[in-house]
Amino acid sequence: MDSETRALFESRLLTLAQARVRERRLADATHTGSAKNPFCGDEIAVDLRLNADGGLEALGYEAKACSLCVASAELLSRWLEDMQASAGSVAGSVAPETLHALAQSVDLALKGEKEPAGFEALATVRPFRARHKCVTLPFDAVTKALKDQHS
Amino acid sequence: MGYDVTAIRAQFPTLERKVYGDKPLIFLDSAASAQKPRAVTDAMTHFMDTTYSNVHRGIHALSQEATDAFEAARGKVAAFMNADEREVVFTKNTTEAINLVAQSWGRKNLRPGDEILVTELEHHANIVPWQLIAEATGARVRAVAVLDDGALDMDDFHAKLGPATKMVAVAYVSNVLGTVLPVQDIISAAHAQGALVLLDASQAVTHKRVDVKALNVDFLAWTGHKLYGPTGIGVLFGKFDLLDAMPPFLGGGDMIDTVSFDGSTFREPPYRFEAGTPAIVEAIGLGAAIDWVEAVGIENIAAHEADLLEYAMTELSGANDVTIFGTTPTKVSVLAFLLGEHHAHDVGTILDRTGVALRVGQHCAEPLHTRLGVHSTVRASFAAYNSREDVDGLLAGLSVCRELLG
Repeated sequence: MDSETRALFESRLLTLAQARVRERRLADATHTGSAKNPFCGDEIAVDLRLNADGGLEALGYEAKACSLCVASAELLSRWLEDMQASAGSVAGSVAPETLHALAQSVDLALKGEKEPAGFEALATVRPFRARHKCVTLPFDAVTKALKDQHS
Repeated sequence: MGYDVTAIRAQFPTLERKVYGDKPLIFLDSAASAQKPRAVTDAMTHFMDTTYSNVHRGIHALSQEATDAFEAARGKVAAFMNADEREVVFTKNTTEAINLVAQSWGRKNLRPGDEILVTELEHHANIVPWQLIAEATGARVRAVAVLDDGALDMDDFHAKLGPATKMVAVAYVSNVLGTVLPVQDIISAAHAQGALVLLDASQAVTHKRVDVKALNVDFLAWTGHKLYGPTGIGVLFGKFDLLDAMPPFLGGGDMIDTVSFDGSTFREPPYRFEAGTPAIVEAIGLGAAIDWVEAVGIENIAAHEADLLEYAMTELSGANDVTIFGTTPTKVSVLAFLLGEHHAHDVGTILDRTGVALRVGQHCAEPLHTRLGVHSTVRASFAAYNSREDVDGLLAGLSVCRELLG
């Protein structure tokens, strides 16, 4: 088997996807969005909890999807935790604009730009163009969630 | 002499290429679109190099020759399915052919409360057009259930077929499972209730002889690119009296008798439904594809594919981690399966890198996958040019999947 395929299927992505340690729905979500890949039927639902100032405090997801989609959602969840722990966040929240910027960075990384910090494992997906949508599906759900506001 | 698959393969240049460096291409995606023999590409190139012109409206020699060639292609299509030439409408593809019937026949004939019967195993192309016209007319789309083995639930069909049924629109062959539906029984029962029948024959014409007169079917739609022809050319068969009673689908040049600002009148079928410049070169290519299929023999192709299917089914059934979907005895060489719990896209990605080209996903049949309780499937489909070595390549690729996916 070629090195690209071996790298993809022996990468941390599969380990992350098999563990699914951060997969959960948020009972107190303020925003929810879902995305579906019409080619394979994969679906992911993303819950967000935003505070009164619009800062992102928590993210949960539930996926019926392939390993790359789940791994992407795991990386996203862990990124939020890291951001909240960093000095750059305000009172443990992350501005939605930062999430939008991250989505764009991931998209560009799949096209050849440098991966954003924490998403280096996605480099193994780059040669597999037919699978890029698997990685971006959680971000599509996030984008839809940010347009949603629970009543 | 027996079926010489080596000689057949030699006529398909694409099959000679390698992918990912040194991997011989194993093309098992013909249910999506078949490769083209040189006879087809040569015919199209020759036509463009020597005869190309617009059809039906020119006074010059080229236009008349092009018209003759275009109409000769229609004649080949008609003969291929035992239809009259007036009953052959050239469309873009199967999808357009079904939309044509839904919009033209449906808009004129469907009323609130009327029912259109489809099945759970339909391609989206035979669901969505009916939903669109149902929404516009107040009719209702109902789906006949599929059994666990992929057969149509004929009890459910008969239960749902009734006086309200105006159209039964079903696949002749499932594009996912390969199941051949009992269309003769369906047509007889539908006609007894006064309903018309449209068959989506996209996956049928490539694997078996289709005779519209023997079937007594009202409409039958298929596409050229699955029958070793080019893309951009499809076929709608309709009984002439039905076509003649239908209003145009698209308006424009070539489909009219007279045009004035007081109104327009329209030509007889099939031209009434062929507005604008048609896919001329593609029709020539389709005619060449039919010539090629007839020269090989559709029955010979079917027998060869049946051997490949049996071999693949036997080998895959022997693996305890493979689940096959669609196990009816009446099945053509379309094989959907899953490997263990692995996602179809992971399997497809690895197979691709071993040189095996096949389809993964829902194959434009989401309701069927919902019925089967799976997100997606891996689909291998075998055509005239495939060999047992191709099946062996698939089996070897699955071993690589097991190694990498665990």
